[in-house]
Amino acid sequence: MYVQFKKGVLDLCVLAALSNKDCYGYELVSEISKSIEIAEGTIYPLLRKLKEDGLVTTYLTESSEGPPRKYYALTVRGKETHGAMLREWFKFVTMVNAFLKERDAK
Amino acid sequence: MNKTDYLTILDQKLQILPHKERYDILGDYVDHFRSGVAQGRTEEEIAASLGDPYLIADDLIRQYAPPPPPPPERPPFSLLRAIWMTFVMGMFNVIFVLAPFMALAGLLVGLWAAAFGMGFSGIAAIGIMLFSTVSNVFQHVMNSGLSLVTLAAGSVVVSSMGILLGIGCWYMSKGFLKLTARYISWNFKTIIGRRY
Repeated sequence: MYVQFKKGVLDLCVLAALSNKDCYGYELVSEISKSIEIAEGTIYPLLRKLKEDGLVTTYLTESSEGPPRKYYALTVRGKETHGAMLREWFKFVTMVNAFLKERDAK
Repeated sequence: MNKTDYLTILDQKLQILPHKERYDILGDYVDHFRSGVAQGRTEEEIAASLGDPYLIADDLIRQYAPPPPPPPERPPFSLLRAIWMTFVMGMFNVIFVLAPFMALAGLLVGLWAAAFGMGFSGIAAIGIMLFSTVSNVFQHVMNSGLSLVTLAAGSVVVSSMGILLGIGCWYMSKGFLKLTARYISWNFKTIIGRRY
């Protein structure tokens, strides 16, 4: 899949994944890479950026297997941003699709 | 590539980051490997699906890179400076620029005149030959012993050269005017002391 497409929407995908439930890193990465073909390692830099921007926060939880796990959760601002981005995304996709279909029909 | 290889590359590439950041980042990847192994995957599989550690390190470094410096501020407009610069540029132009400029302009005017002269004289000569066979000029030329064919050919050659010279002049004048305009605008910019 075209790399530039993915880069732009990966933020949205991470926010969407976290809007269902809090995840630890590996969980989140497998969740996303189940549906989208990506280099999984790129999610961690993204998570750091989202955290820096105040959209995501982290907390530690004891796990049954090994040391405590770092969980990621959406902040209030993260939830708002997710909603706004989602609306923008669907609007955008509809526009692009309409444009492409029109060209294709000719 | 196994876990140690992967983390070593990442660690080396991230040396320029603050120690705490690097420690945090590596911790994320260490956890990732641990969780993956717990799920029954091999270190090699996990490393492969993480993707090129060099690219990921670049990603991380870019995030921590300091923001680019702000664009330089426009210097404020100063009337005193503008007056001084007008004086300086004026002196400079009068002493160094005016003479070559006039010489070039004069040369161009001269070339234009030559081009017109040659072009029209050739055409005129042909015209005279065609329409005024009895004119004095014609008689005079006939007396000089030149044949009509030579004269006609000469006229054509002269007017062609005139036209060619005219085309050359056209391009030279265009370049000259462009250069002059650029020079003048540079003068203004220097006097005002900023871009507009």
